[in-house]
Amino acid sequence: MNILLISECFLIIALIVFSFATLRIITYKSTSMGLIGTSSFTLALTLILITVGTIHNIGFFKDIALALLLLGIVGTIAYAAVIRRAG
Amino acid sequence: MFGIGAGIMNLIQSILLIISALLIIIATVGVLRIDRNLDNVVYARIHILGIVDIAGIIAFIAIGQPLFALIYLFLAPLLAHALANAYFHGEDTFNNPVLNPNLEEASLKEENDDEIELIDEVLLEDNLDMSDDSSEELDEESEDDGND
Repeated sequence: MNILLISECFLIIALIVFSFATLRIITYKSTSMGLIGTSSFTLALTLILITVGTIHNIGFFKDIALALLLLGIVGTIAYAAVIRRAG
Repeated sequence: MFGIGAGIMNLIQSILLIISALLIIIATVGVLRIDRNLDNVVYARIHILGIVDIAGIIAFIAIGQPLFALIYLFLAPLLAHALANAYFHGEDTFNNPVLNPNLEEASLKEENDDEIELIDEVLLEDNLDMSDDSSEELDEESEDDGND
């Protein structure tokens, strides 16, 4: 078995564990913690998509991951700006 | 020759991926185990999740996606700063005096107490100096009386 494939699977497992941790963070009561958890979940999902796309040679996973990364972060920053002005 | 180079590249990629996976696991444990009753726990969580950001950049580079790494390298600090700023101006009642007016009164009271303590110390030193001076004067007077 290829060592690169093993390390990619190890990364996917770590990212799945991390995504469950971010889901736990999202459930905290403050809005900012929800934003923090959402942005971290976006990163984890992006990395999972890219890794799976690399393993199985699926090209459009990278396009989805790029859109998710850009729009997720920009949306989070925009919502954080709204919270900042509302406060 | 090419096969050896590809093997080394695969090894380097694997090492980087394992390092990033370990960093992600460590940050996950840290985020879940941190005490939620701490004063500035939200900033601490943002700080811990910065490790995941760097691990993600390393993983992007190791997988062979430098564009993702570059984008996230520029956007991650902006994101962390925006989140911390939003929390400070929106929900932070521990540090923000606008959201917690008692905080400003407490800080002013602390400043006044410090000033009062400083004045007391100065007055006490002056009193001690005066007592020394007065004792010396008394000694001189007694010596003068003895000479007469």
